[in-house]
Amino acid sequence: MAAIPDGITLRRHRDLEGRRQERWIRRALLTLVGVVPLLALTNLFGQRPHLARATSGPASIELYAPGHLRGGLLWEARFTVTAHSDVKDAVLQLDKGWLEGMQINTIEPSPVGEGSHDGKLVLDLGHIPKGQRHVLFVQMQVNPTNVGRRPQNVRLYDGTTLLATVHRSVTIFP
Amino acid sequence: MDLTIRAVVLFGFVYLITRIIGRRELSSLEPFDLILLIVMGDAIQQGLTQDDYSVTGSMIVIGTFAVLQVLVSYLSYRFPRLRPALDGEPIVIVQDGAAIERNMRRERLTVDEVMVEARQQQITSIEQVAWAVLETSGKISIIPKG
Repeated sequence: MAAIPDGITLRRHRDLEGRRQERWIRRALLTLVGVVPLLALTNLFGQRPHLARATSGPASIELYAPGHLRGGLLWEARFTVTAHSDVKDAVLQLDKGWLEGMQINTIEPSPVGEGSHDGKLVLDLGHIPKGQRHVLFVQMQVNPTNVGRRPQNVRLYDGTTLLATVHRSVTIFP
Repeated sequence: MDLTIRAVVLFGFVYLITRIIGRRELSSLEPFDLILLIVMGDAIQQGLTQDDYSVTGSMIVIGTFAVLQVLVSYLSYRFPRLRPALDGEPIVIVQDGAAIERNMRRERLTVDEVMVEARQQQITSIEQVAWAVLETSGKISIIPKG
């Protein structure tokens, strides 16, 4: 038999003594790595949008937006306000989480007015006649440094009267 | 700060991937592997610097990678007990002209692949191989019989 090369120990490098667990550690880690794309398929890391609704007598609001995002993503939120009776001055009030660490690319159609109330963004949609819908698109992008969970509640007012609230939050992955 | 954290996380992830993916996959550079490497590099870059096009950003990332690489190398040198985890260990796959099936199966290696390496050293038959060792780099060292 040829001489054993220097640095090679037969028990360790041929018979793999003490190395049996290596294989299982490798398999476990590989499984762990493989679980990430599987979880991604379940929309855990975004950005598939989902629907949230809130209804009151005079109006209802429907929000179609993703609840999970990642840094740098372009995304869209669609607000649909349906007037069951005449809404004289529809106002949307958005939590700070809508703007913190986000870039607003555009809001279409442009609201009649914008403002701030108690640190929240206020979008004045104007008059919505009975039976009509007002659809508002907000196109945004996540800042790469924006990570974590933020509240994104939406309140619908008629003037100063609260009509409906959509409770939601967004989770942003790095 | 953000760039450094991202660089550390991605360095750790890439290191983990290269350790668990299998050494043969790493050492062979078939056309598909080459494309995969480029795609991986691009994906890593996007996660690293994202919209940061600055020279400072690049320097932070490259600097972090360099420091981590030296750190891993130092840990491996200074603490031999960490070496198997950080670098892996060689595996004997052929001894005295006979393939060690269990070890080859473990590394998803075939005799044909060993023979490709052997032929490059003018060895025409596995019987002429005294030792074949799959190194931590993924290369196969062939030592012919005297």
